[in-house]
Amino acid sequence: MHHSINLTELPAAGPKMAEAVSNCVHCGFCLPVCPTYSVLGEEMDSPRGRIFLMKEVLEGNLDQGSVQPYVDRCLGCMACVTACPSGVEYGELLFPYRAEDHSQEGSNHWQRLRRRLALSVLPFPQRLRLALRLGRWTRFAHRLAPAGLQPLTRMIPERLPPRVPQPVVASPPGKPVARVALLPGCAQSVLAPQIHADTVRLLTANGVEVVRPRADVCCGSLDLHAGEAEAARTHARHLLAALPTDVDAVITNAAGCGSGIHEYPLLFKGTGDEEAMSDLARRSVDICSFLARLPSLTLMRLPRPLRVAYHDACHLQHALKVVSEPRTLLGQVENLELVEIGGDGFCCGSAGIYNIDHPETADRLGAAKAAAVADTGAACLATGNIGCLNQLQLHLAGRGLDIPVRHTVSVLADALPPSNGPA
Amino acid sequence: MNPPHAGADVWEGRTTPLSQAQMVAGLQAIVSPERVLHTAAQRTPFESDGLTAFRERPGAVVLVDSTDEVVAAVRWCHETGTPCMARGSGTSLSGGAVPIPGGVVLALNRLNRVLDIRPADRICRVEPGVINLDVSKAVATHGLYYAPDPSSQPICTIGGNVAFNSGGAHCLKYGMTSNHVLGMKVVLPDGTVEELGRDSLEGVGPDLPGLFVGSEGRFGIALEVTLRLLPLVPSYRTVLAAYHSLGAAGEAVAAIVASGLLPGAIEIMDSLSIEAAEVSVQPGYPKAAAILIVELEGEPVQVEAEMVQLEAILRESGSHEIRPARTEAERQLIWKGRKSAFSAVGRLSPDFIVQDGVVPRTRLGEALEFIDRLSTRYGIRVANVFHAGDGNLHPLILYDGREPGALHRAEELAGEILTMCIDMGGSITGEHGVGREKLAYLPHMYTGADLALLHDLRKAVDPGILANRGKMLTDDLPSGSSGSDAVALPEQWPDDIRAKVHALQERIRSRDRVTIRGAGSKAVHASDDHAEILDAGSLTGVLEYNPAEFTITAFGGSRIADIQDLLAAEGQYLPFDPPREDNATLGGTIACGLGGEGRWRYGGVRDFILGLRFLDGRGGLLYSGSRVVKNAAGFDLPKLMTGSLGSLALIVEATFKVFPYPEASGTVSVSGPLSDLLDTMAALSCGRHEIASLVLETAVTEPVLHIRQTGRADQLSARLEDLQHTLGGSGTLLMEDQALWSGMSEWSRDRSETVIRVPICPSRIQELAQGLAPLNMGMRWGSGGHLLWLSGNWQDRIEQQFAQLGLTGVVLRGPRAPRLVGSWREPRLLSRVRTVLDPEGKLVGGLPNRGD
Repeated sequence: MHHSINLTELPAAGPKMAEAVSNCVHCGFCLPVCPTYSVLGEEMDSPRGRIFLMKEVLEGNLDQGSVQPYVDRCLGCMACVTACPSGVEYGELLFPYRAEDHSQEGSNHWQRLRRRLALSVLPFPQRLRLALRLGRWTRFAHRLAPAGLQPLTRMIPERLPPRVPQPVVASPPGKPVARVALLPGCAQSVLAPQIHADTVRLLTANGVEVVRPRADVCCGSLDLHAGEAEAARTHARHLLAALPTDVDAVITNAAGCGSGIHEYPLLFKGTGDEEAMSDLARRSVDICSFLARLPSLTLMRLPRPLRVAYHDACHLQHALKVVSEPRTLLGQVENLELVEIGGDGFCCGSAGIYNIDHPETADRLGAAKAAAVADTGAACLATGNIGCLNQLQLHLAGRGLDIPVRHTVSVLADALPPSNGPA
Repeated sequence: MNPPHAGADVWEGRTTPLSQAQMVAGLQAIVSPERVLHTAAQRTPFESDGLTAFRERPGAVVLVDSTDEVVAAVRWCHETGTPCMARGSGTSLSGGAVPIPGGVVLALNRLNRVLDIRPADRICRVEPGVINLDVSKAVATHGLYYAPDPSSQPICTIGGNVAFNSGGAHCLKYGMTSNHVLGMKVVLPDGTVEELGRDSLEGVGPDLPGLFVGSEGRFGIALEVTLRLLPLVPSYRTVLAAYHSLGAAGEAVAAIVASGLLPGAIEIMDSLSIEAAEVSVQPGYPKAAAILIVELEGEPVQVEAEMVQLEAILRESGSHEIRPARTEAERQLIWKGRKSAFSAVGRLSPDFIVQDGVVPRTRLGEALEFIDRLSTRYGIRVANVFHAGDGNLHPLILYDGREPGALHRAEELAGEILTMCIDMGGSITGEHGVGREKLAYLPHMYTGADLALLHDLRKAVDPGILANRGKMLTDDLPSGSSGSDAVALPEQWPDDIRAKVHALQERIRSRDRVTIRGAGSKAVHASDDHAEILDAGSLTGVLEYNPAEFTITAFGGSRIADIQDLLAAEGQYLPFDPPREDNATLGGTIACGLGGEGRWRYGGVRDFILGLRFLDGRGGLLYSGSRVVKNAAGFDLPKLMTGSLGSLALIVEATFKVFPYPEASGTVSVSGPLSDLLDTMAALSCGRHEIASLVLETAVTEPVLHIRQTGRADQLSARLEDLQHTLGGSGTLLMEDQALWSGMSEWSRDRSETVIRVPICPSRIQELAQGLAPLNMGMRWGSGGHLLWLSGNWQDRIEQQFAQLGLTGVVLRGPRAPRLVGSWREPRLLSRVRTVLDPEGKLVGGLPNRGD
């Protein structure tokens, strides 16, 4: 698409942003895969519509504030990137654009408050733990929470799982085949510490040595995907400092974090950290991709037959293109029947803090996904992202369904031989 | 010769009389306010469709949630003189969905309900915002699918397909959108809501759905569309063949066509488009200057045998790599690459123009060389992707809009390609429509009176120029020019035809009332004793027949039998299988919309007529359509004339699409109780057997169902055996079945008997068999149960009986035949059309006379 964007007024990511606009031919192949277009049915809330709008803002034809609600409503699920025949890297336009967009028109004050609360608490494990303890009373007296805060408070679990201590170095029984660092994770370490424990078990059972980073820091992806670029950079720098350098790979087990790290090169474009961040992006790999690449895997077998549905986290499927690996791994487990979820393949509505930002759209997507999961008849749902996990748990429970939602690694870890012992 | 750039000067300078604020307030009184989009940010994304070279900002966009809202909005626009346009997914490649500046956009994408699926009738009814592919998804469980498959089928809507008569890769065999739309509910630009067509494969009266489809929104908006469905293809074989030159690939197409094979699709991609597709979706195409994609479809045994033949042809044609798809996944990948090609070119160039010209298939090689020379001369890269089987070219002209003058030069090149298409006797658009982009070129394809006729029709239906103003037609010609000027008769005509046509023109001009008569095979006597009879039966002869093009052009008085014999000598036939009874003429067959039992497989007269030259009620000689197998330029008047019963025009010359004649045929006949046979019919209609004809006879002692299969002689026995097996081993097999089927087309042996042809749908057979029993007439249910043939003594109570049952038929033989009988009410669209074609009501035909 023809444009007259003035690159000199744009940040270092500008040329990439302009390239995305230029590659878009406005053919509309992105429309059927876009969850917000499907739900809202208007051109402004479609990938090609948003590209058009961002282009107009960048060209100076439209006021940024007037466009903000539509850009803001994008889940950032990147399904459009997978569908695009023209190779538009939508994320390379969206995330830098959001980072530059400081207009607040269009979002109400509750929305702004929820977002500020979420972003100032979720990435910090200690704050989050404290906040969840304080916030628990709202679960027992839900009506006491102001309506505007309920999208946030309803996410608060009834009780916090106990902490699971991680060794500084977890070594496999024999000579390690590889040495990796495990991304610490922030909210996940508080809300579901078992995921990390299961990841470590899986890795060590397969001969991989796992190193714990020096500090529990956030990778900045939540901020990055919400358009808070500076906060994201700060987190990223802390992360880089905390990670050991003598490892073969940095393992991520949250889709959003994995894709966020892969966006570091663009985030740090033109800065002194660009090279180090690009190097980190190259070394970072999703847990399922890493396991699938190992020459051989420990035999996995579930004690009892189980039908498992696998849900593609958008950031795994569309941003990191990790689609077949989790299925291959789950498919190798004896006694596990893997089933596909039908329907439109849309995002579940979690999308970072989207379900806190835009609860109505997120609820429609979550409910639709829960219904599709129910149709599979699965007794367990596996997914590779903590956000999806919580969102789907909420909506499955909302349908009165008792289908546990578990991280893929937890399902796999259950199938490890007993010699690897429970964590 | 460049397309116009500005939009403001193309419709007599008219814009909406209201301010934007008034417009928004007015619309907000009709639909809930939040669904009237009016801010700049809301309107901007609607400025373009799939062709970003054109942009216009609408005054307001209405997200309609119901068809009632569409009607209310159209009425409001009519009352206030506000131009308006419907938009589905905005994927038009001709600028057809570019808004009218300052006008109203009605966004129909939320009207996406499939309203009704009737598997036994092989139809479904949908709202206009339903996505093309979603139709096939919705009906798949019934063993059916919707055939037209534009590359944008995952997102384009049926409403848009209807407006632009969209095509796709599989048009060669099954036609375009217009061949699959049977009926519709529409709102005309003045807010009138009416039904066009019906829920039957067969038509009665002028083909109004055929006229409406492809009218680019100029006749109004479709609110509901009744679609024809086909049984899921039982097996596909898809093959990729690589060539060292485009020319060699083109020659392979000619060889395939000459062999008598009828593939579902024949596509060619050149090296540039292969490269783009490869980068985009990695279909794994072979490295080549050109690749040919051929897809065979049908019953497995037949397709396997055809595949052997096809591979031999491809080897012979010099392909250096022949790669058949081994799995369904491989087949899907081949198509994914092909269907992504347009958008994938976005990776090669920031901007491009997609062209959509059609040339006669035999001149493909010549056309490609010409484009290649143009590309070199302009220094502009042109990628070629095309529906080779249809001669439908899609040159993608790559340019960089940031370079000054680049768009202009690209448009110039595009213009030269379109001119070439016209010069070669082709069309400026095969499937994308004229839209905004080719506005300047329609007057090159249709000139003088032919063009003026299109304008006059538009004006008659939409005098306020409100409906999708500025698309297809520039709206700036003076009115009343289509019938008044004397048009020179075509030079290629023989002298005697010229003299006869001239005389006919004079007679029409000088008389008050005239009646057209061909060879008199249908009419027993003229319907109006005061009307002078015009003899069209002496206009005989074939003007052009090129077997390699699959087209034939002949004069209207030509006898069907002569045409069939001529085609048969080349191994071809008219697939709608017209009855050759008596001296039936081509013109009479068109005017009566009369197909035979073979029409079940591929379609009726309306589905095979391509171009038409006719005399209207003013004595003017007019042309519409084209002589190539695919054309989406202008209003489809050849379809309109199908079933017009002499009330709209005298048919002088017609062009038809023809097919290779099947080698062999055989028939299985089963008898039993009516309800059992109806169940069998329903099952076969959605089943895996390819059936050429399906007829139910109830006039005999025990009802009989005749099931005919046609195809390769070497596989037919196996297929018929398989069919009998499906039928539970029952039924008798007849291999020499020609006499049986030619008997079917003879309506009735008794010349004094009345014969009435009534379109119905199979699900009504039982009810109608009982309801019509009191008439004590012979009944035969043809065309797969979509047509009732009634024969016997004429009785006045037929009218009453038909009205009660909501039937309309054509009396083909009997008092005042041919004419309509039953509960016919003339749609307003047709009345408007008649004021143009026959302003003085001179043509006395089978429709109720004007003013009666």
